[in-house]
Amino acid sequence: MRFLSILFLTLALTTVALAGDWPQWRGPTGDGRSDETAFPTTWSDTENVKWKVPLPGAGNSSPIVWKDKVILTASTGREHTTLHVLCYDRATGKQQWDTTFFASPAPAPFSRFPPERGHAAPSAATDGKVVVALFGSGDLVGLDLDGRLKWFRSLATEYGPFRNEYGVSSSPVLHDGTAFVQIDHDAESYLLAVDAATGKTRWRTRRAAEDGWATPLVVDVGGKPQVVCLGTKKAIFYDAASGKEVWTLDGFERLCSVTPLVRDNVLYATSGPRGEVFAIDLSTASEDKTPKVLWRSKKIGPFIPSPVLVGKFLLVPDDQGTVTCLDAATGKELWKERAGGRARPSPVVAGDVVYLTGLDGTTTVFKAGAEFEPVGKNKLGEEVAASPALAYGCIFIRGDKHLWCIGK
Amino acid sequence: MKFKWTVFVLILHGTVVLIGQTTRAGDPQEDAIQHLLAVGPDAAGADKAQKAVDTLVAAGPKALLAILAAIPADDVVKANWLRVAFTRIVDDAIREKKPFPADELLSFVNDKTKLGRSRRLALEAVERVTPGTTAKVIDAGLNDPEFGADAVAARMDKAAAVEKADPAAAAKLYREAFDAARDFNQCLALAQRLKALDVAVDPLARLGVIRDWMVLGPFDDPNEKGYATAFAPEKAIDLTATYAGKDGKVAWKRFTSDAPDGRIDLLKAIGPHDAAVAYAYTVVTCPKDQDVELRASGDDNLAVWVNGTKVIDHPTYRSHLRIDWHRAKVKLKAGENTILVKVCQCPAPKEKLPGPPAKWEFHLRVVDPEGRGVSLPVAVPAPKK
Repeated sequence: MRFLSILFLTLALTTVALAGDWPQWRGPTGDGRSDETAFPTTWSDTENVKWKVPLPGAGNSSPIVWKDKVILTASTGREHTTLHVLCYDRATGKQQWDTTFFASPAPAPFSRFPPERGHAAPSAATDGKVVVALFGSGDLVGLDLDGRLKWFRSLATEYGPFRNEYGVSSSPVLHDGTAFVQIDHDAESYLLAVDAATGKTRWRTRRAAEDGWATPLVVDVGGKPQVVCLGTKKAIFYDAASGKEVWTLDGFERLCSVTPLVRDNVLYATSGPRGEVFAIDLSTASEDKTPKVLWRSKKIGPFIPSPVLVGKFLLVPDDQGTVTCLDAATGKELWKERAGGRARPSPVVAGDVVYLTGLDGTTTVFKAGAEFEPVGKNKLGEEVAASPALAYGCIFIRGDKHLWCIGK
Repeated sequence: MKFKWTVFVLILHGTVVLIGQTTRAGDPQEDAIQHLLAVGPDAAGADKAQKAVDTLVAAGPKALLAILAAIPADDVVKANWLRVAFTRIVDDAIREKKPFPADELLSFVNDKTKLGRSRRLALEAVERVTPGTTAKVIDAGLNDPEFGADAVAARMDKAAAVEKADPAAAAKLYREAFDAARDFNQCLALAQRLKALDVAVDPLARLGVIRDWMVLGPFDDPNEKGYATAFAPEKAIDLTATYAGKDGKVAWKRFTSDAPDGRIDLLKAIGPHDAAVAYAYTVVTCPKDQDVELRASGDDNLAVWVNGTKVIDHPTYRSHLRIDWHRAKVKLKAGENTILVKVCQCPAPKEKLPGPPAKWEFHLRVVDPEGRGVSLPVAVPAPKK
């Protein structure tokens, strides 16, 4: 019996994210926040660089971290027809594996598309049993932690090529053994739930949505998980078990790219560009009762970066590096500060320290409180479009050409 | 006696055939490949495929050529399971310094009858054991269906490196590359380089871009219903007629693109309208019946009719122009063929959004089944006075 207990405990430990893991887009709690606090606040391209490795290909996907592994995706070739899921040793940066795939045939040559960094914009996700990666070519793959293929889906073949003017950036999200994939494009849009272990479809719900780039978020409503999807003027909540639409909230902009976040039963959903931020109370909602909108902000929403919540302060970045701080309880604007330059990456936060990385690779570090308190600016000297990952005391940054580990 | 020998030979032959068949049917390598070719949509067969990959990996480098040969052209799921097996064998062979069939793989690479992506996969493997192979294959591959675009890019690099010191040599290299190029961007870039060296070429003709059109509009489209509304040109083409347009009467007029890529700027051709519909019409002449592919794109949306049949139907407003984005296989007949294009422009947003001003445009070209531009004489009919 004791043996069994130890066995179960061991099994549980092998599949549960450790405190330091950053297992998917926006981190362990889906809001860009790490529970750790001891991360470097100053660095340069030589100072506080634990390691730096060249990347074999292009991509905007952010790194994820699981125990000793740092995992990210890339695509290579003139037409970006080779897809990569890459794994590096967290301590040394040594490549552990690089599993490659043929991309599903594109409806048009890649060179005619504007995405600067290939088919690898969505970030991978892992629960320690499987790594799920989505590519803009319409390919969804499941690998084990050693990089071995468990399953391969060509969503482009099954449901039609991804027709999105700027490529696909919505990341798969793993929750309780299911991978949720939101595909909003100029053909039939859908939310897909896949059994992460086998790759088989649990359900697929069609969405009346046009092209979009938001990553879904799984929230708990009255003990039941629901998947929130932003896109095309609406926030729609789906029952995670069946895919059935539960609620719809209107008032959003057509283009909603940012990832919502939830804290203490309040969902903060940002509509943009130049849309409002909605604070939505999930605590009183039920299947029959639409959640109550607590407040709506002024029209400050960005196109790309997602907000973070620091204590009672909601920080909403825009695409030009300006951060607006809202009182999370009321939506009242507390301060607005030009913190950095043009931004694609979303900010991440540890304690009350915020890391806001600009497209030019400069990360502005500041403390968020009733006032903006700058800590420093750190230049990598390399363009950065992906969001940093905070894990095990280090900051992992995917640059245009390199993967950087900032730490000691 | 003769009869007995014949019977003996027949029995022996039958036994050999039977043994051969038994061996093939029970060949673990062949069985494993068949398992990988049995995978399907919705991750069907993935569990068996995982074991089949392990079987092939255990077979080692001797399985590589059979795997390559089995990669299908039309099924990316099957192809990827085979790719994964191939790559793991190569990884193991290199790590464990196992004998590696580099010569056989290189022969596969050089065989243009084989599938392009399999040849490229084989080349990546050979490159790992014999660095420099890729450069040689690409250098010789100017007219190769798989490596041609890489060869053009390599020629361009080579030409750029000598352009200052030896412009004549550079022009020769650029011209070689231009004559082989099929890629849109490469053709335009090469024409630009050649122009700088006083060599005149017509990249748009080479790419099959149609620049000469009759245009008509704007028709009114206040609430994005215009795409679904059949205005007069969809019922009959009458180049002499006038119609009630958005801001008064409209009539067909000729427009020839002067854009470097041959796009038709409807803001120039028709005017700076929003919430509007425009049509463009042209006639191309074919020397014979011809299978071609139409490649087109529009901002906002796009419909294309060839000889009265709708072949491209992209109704989404707020689409951007991406050259070659929409494709349709079309049979053109000997003689005249009509092409009608419809493009809408959505209403202007109430609030100005960040980004460049709205565009209203389309682009259309004709290529052959191998992707080479087809330059067809365009006979835009002039409206009768």
